[in-house]
Amino acid sequence: MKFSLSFRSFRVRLIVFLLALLTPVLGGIFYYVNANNTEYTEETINSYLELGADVFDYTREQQATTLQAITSSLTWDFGFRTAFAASDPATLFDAALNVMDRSLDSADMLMITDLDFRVIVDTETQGFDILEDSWLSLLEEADASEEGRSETIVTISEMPFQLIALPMYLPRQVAWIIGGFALDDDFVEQVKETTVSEISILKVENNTTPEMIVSTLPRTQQPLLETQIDFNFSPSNQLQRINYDGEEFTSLVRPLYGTGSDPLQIFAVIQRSYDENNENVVQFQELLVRFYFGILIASLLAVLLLARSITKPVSKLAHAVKKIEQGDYGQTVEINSKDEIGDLADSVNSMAKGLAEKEKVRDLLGKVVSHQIAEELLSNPVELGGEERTATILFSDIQGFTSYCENKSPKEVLGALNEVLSKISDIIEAKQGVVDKFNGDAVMALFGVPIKGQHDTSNAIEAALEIELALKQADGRLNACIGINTGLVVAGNLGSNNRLNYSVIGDTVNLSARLEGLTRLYHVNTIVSESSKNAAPEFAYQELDEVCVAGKSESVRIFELIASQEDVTPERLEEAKKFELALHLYREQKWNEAESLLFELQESGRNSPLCQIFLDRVSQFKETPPTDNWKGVFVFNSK
Amino acid sequence: MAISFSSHSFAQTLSVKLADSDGNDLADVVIELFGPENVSLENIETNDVEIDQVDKEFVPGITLITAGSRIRFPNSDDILHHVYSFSSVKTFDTPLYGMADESQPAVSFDMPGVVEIGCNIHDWMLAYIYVGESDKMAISDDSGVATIQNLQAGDYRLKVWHSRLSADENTMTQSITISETQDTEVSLSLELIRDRRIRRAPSANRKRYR
Repeated sequence: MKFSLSFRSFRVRLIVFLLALLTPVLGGIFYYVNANNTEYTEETINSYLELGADVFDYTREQQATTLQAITSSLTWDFGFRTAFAASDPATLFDAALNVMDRSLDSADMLMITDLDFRVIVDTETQGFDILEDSWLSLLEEADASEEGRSETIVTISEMPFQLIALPMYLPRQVAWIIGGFALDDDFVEQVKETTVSEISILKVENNTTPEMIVSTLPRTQQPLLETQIDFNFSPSNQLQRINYDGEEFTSLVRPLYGTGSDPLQIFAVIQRSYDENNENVVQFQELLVRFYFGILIASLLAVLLLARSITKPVSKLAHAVKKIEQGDYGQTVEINSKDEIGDLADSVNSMAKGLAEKEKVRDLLGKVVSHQIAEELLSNPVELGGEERTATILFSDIQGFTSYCENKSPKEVLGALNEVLSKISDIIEAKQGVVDKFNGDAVMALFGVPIKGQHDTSNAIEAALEIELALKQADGRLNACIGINTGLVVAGNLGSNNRLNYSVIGDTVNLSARLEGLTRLYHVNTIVSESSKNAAPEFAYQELDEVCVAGKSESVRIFELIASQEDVTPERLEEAKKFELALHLYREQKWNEAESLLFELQESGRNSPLCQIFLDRVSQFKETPPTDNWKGVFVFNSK
Repeated sequence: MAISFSSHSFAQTLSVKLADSDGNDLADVVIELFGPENVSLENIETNDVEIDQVDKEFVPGITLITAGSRIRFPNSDDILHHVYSFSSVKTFDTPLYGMADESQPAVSFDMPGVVEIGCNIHDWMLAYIYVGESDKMAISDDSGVATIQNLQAGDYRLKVWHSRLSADENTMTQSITISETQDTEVSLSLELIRDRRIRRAPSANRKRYR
């Protein structure tokens, strides 16, 4: 969980990416260089060993040549010739020893045989009269050769000897003379000095385990070579690795005498320490590893810096954006870079500025127009035109405000007005109504537009009741005059392209305004149209009249809003019923019955102005009866 | 009897054609005839000859003498030579001597056989002296033919010697009959051993021609 979280960080991803990129590249380089170096080392060792083997052969041949020179000069020695002619082996033996002495260790043994290979002199006194085996084949080979010369390697008393055979002339060939030098410690040390390689000479008798004869190796290592070396191989210059207590030696084997099936085989082994030669490679490997980690660390630092240069401004930006999301538009992000992040920071700053301005506008709009209209305006494209909607329109006016304002300065008047209007405005908004406009002390409010609710008309009527109460509580002199009507309106943005006003128009609006005006005439606080009454039947009403307002041909029944069903008193309901009965008698043109009922109502006092209106009409109709088509509708000819 | 028998037929010639086993003509082959009547050594004429030393070589390379003859070894070179022989027939050696040194005594070869001489200074110098015991000897020329004239008819023993002849003492013998009426021609094929000789010292040559 933690890993996956941290893996999501930009920095970690960058590092992983870098590692994924760098590791195969550096690894590949390492592998390639290492492989090449190892190959080079092996080639170098091999060539050194080949060279060592060549030097070994060369040294042996040089010695043989020296030996040949010494041996053949022996035949020139007249004293030796004389001694040979004298056929005295003892004298010849001394002469041979004398020659060896003069050879400065180039010759370690001499042998003279006659042409039938009978031994005349042998300085090693091996005790054979007739030559056999390798000695015999040496002479037979010499006899068969053009120059009468041949060489071989034999062991004498466990020591390998390089032999060379030559004819002895007197002046024709009279004998074979064989010279030999030991491939001993001196010899291998001499070769080692030239080749800087370890030289060993081993023999294998009857295919048993190899046996060391001479070696430049330390005594402790010699048995290791004997056990590890393998002479059963082909081709002859095969390279082998010998391990001396952890140190590897590359070994080149050179057969000196005998082949696979011979009872005696002698081999030279030339060796070089692989580790010593590989030292440079190992050093280079270490250097490479250090280089790899150096690159890695440098790259990681670079990546961290790079990541920091990106993540720091990004998290700064994220922080600012979060603040903006929470409504703090005062944020500005300071990033001094000219790259994409700098551009983004500029954009975020511009966005915050834009949002702040928009919020300012929204705030102002909320103050100028109602909150709901502001929302409507902000959420929809602002354009002229409207839609037909059903709405309840409430017109409110304050009766007695003039007298209320007597002896008050204009500023105090405005203050008082604002105070009252604020209350009204608050009530309307609390009832999901929208204050459309103020006009002096008058207020126009909309219910059901722009947002349609479930109980728009009931809300309007409740608002009316609250306004009535609020004004009464504010000052005893103040009285609310409210008209409420429900019906189709055209709602939308009215005005010019540059200056719009969300409002509603239509007959419903006009009637609502008329109803407000009629309150003064009928001496009631609130007049509700029939459509509104029907839409909010849960209130108590008292029918007032059926009227035909100015400019309208159709009549409407109008009602006085009494109170909510809960608040209304039974007396008040009884009163309302009686009035409605009187109104019924009035419409039936039963003038006297109506008159008496109205008087009765007037006596009770509550509806006296209203009863007076109808008593006046009755007395008038008694004098001048209405036309036949009169249905009880009162026509207003002026607004 | 034999003498009278042969007195009128002393005009036959023996010519021996000698070749190696490959059929090549073989020079320097010595033939020696014995019989039918042996002549004692005392009655054979001796012939004193010289073996010169020219340009570090013995000239001639092979010399036929009869036993009892003497050979002188003059030196025609401008350097000294030391002639020696370890052959059992005649072992001798001269001290180092030069061209002007005339005091060298002639060496007499009394026993028949082959003497190989060499020079102790120049190892490659080698010459053969064939000391015969018969008065009838010849040496083959470059065409491989050895001729002996004035022979009387009869049965002879032919001895053939060559320095590389693959036989004991490099010698082979065979019987041969000389016809009364005509010359006798014999062809012999000899089996030779390898000619192993010491090469002239190259440094000496170089010095000489520089």
